[in-house]
Amino acid sequence: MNMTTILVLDDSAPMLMSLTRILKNAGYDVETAANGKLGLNKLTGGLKPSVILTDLNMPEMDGIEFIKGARKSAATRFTPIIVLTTESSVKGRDDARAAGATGWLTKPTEPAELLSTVKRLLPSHG
Amino acid sequence: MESGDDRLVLAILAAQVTAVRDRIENNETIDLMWRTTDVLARLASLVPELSRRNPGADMERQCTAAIANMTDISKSLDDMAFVQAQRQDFTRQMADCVATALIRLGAPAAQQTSRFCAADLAKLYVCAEQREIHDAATAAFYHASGWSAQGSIQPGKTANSNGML
Repeated sequence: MNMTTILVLDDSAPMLMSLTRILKNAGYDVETAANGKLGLNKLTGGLKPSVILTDLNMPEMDGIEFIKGARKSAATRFTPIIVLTTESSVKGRDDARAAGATGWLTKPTEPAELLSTVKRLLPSHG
Repeated sequence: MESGDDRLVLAILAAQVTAVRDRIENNETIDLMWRTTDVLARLASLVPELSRRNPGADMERQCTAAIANMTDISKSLDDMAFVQAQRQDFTRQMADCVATALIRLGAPAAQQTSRFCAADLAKLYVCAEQREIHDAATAAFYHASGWSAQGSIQPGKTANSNGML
């Protein structure tokens, strides 16, 4: 059983629950946060996820600010961060890339695509 | 500027759309899918016991088939719930944008620092579809008014491909 930890950020409770189920069924350990601020709190609290999956549009602190914050920390400077969002504009992608995101998935995406993207970005992959 | 009565209508509409948004957020369909998946998982874990208590090749074959079916249905339900949750999230965000705009339009005159315009509305968008609807509605409005269309908000190029950045 692969117990790699994935931190998931989304302000939608059904999305958080659904992502948790899909990832846990695939054998991952999952930590969740409802916005960027809570996500950063988890990271400063010592959580060291292997991959981070984040929405962009969230209250309190959005995904872009969260990514910038995560990149400032030595512990998560190189952690793969996948953006999962309804936003599909080139500008949105450019902003995410500039902030330090590694991957991009536009909602709605299929579970298989989500899992293959996570797997591809895991440090042990390849 | 809208009259006091117009603002009241806008405030009421904002409350109505907010209620719709909350209803979207609290849709029970996904929860039912998860509960069904959990029940199937529990049943699948009990089936081997049935086979142990009633040994026989036919029983074993039926139990194996039942477990395979339940596992397959559970996975399909979880996958469907995942896609449904994303669609629901998408719709909720569109409703949230309308509610936010209506709240600002319906705010009492004393609380309005400036007039809320189409460009302000565009700043609330979170997806390309909203921008496309905005542009189509703007074009239709100007066409119906006989005015020349102003600039598009330019949803920009849509990046459809998922993957690495």
